[in-house]
Amino acid sequence: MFARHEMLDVVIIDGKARGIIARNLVSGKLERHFGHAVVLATGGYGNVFFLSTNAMGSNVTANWKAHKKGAFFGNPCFTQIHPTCIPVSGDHQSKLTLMSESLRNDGRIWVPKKKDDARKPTEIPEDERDYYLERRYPAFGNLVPRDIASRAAKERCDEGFGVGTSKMAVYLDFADAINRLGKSVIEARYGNLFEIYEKITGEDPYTTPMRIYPAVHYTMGGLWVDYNLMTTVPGLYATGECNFSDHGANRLGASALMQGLADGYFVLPITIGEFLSKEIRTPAIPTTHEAFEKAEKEVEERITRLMKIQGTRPVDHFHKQLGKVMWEYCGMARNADGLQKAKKMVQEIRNNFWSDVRIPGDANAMNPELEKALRVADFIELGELMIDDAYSRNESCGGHFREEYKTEDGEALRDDTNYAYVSAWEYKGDNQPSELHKESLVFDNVKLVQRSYK
Amino acid sequence: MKITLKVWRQKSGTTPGEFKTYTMNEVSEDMSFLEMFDVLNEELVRTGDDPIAFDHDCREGICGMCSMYINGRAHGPLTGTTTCQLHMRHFKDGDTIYVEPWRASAFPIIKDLMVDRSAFDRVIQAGGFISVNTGNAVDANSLPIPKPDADKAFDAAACIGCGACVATCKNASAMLFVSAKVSQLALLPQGQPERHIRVKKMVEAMDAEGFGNCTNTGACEVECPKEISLENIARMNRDYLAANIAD
Repeated sequence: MFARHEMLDVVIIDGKARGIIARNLVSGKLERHFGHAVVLATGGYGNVFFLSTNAMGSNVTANWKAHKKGAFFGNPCFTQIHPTCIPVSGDHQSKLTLMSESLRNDGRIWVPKKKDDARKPTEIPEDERDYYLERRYPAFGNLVPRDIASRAAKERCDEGFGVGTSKMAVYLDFADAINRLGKSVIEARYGNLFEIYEKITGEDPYTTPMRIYPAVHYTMGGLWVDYNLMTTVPGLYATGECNFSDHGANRLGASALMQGLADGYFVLPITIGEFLSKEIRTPAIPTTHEAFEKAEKEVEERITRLMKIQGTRPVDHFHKQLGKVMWEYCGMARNADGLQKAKKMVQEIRNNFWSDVRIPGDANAMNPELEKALRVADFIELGELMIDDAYSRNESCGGHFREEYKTEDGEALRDDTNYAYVSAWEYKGDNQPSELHKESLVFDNVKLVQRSYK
Repeated sequence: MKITLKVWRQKSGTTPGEFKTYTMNEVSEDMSFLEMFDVLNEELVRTGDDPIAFDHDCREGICGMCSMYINGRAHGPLTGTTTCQLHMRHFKDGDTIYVEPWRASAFPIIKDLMVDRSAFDRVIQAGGFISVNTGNAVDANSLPIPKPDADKAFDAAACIGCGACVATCKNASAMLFVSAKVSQLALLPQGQPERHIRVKKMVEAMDAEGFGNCTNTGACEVECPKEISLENIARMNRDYLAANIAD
């Protein structure tokens, strides 16, 4: 096991993935590792938004390098914004914490009917509360899918009905459930979550409603793979959240675990044999091979370039800027004008990053700022592709909501005639537009319909 | 709030370290302890200083990476709480806070507050596999497990491997960690085929890493952010004895 190592490139020999370049994060030394095949299980890229429920170290670098070496990127703009997270408390915020979906089984979501209502939630009488999910979606109520619940919360807050100091939150109230079932039942069901909430906010959800707001949680997009989980680069596999498969535009609850288990336990162990069986006579390729030399040199040059900038701003400054742009223009709601604007902004962030970032310390030692810089450089490039993808998809579909394409009552409007495809983007070189390949979604035995939650 | 931090700075495991003082004038009570360090580090980078290295990842108390010794206590003053979930509202304006790395010879210092806990990885690896059939997914309810057993196994499995038990133990013993990892499998039917070999190998690996012995003081249980019970140590000792008699 190689703890504290980060993959910084994939090595391709004769068109096949044959190894990786990794950086030992303790010594800073670059290492070459050979393999007959390469399997990526690197997770999602939600941290492109800076604030997300992902762990701080989650990044897109391994995937992005694979993409730049020929692996198509599928549906990059499909990101899941989870409705029940603890809201942002200030500029210092480093990550967001998910309150489990299960809370919506017993919690009721509401905002005051009056704008800027300054009263405590417990002082607002029943008839002055707007249980907006129950009002808009009587059939499903508080249990509508994540994308719908998230957009509905955003809509209320954008209209000025948000609560808390930031006004960017809604209430998730357990008072009815506690009255109905008793505190002990609620404690048995959600005790650990209530405790986490109390630790973070200092408020007791047994006596006052939780405040929640949507946050980036999962990326449905990822490296395009075939049914064997192989990317468009022979011998390069992607499993779990880092590939694009299984979830379409809107992952449903618990299915990320399902994918992790299915890909890792049941699919890949069978399918990778298909590739490896043909490699049985291929001897181990020494890591002195020129392809390893070249890949390592490229990584080294990138690190040197970053270290040499010695600008004025820390890496997080650019990451936060990028996150704000992505959240604002390529988050819960997108539109053509905003996306065009965002593309320019991301390009500007990219230029500023490469001329003004400051990375202290040494590249040949433990250097967390350098680690972050290498990741953010790739997030910035990915951000542009996500924007291109969102711009090219002129429909609303799952987590991708284009404001121009909605029904009269504000629901997502899909266009199955023109957009029933997976977008698979091919990297064409620095500053070259990526090429869009379309994998048609063909259904033989079911008819495509739109589900109504009304 | 105004907070004075006395932080252990050490360039590497081979150079001597010392406390350095940092004053922070605008600490919000909503910040987590690690977010305060983020703000400080940004400032250090801007002023051309070397930022403080510390371990962290999930920041929601489940990955086991954060490992600060705060005012003489692993993960700070609250019970059942990791450093990342400790918020500044539990401190007062004007407080001085001492922050040190885990100190144990089996956890050598990498830099500042960052220590190498790969000894834990090696102990886990020594435990090896469990025998389980793959291929088709098994029916979820085909193997009945009594609720009290499942609960105990779950509580043991809550161990995040942060190392607070080692850091807080006067002997730098890893018994609470290893016993949690032994117990989570020993309590379940899936863990039975390799039960004896597992406990022997894990105890052997633990001793080889240079952790100290257990003298039943119980400080580990008090400081464990996941409130792992000492009962696990008793269970491991019994399993270890049984495994040796069986040989």
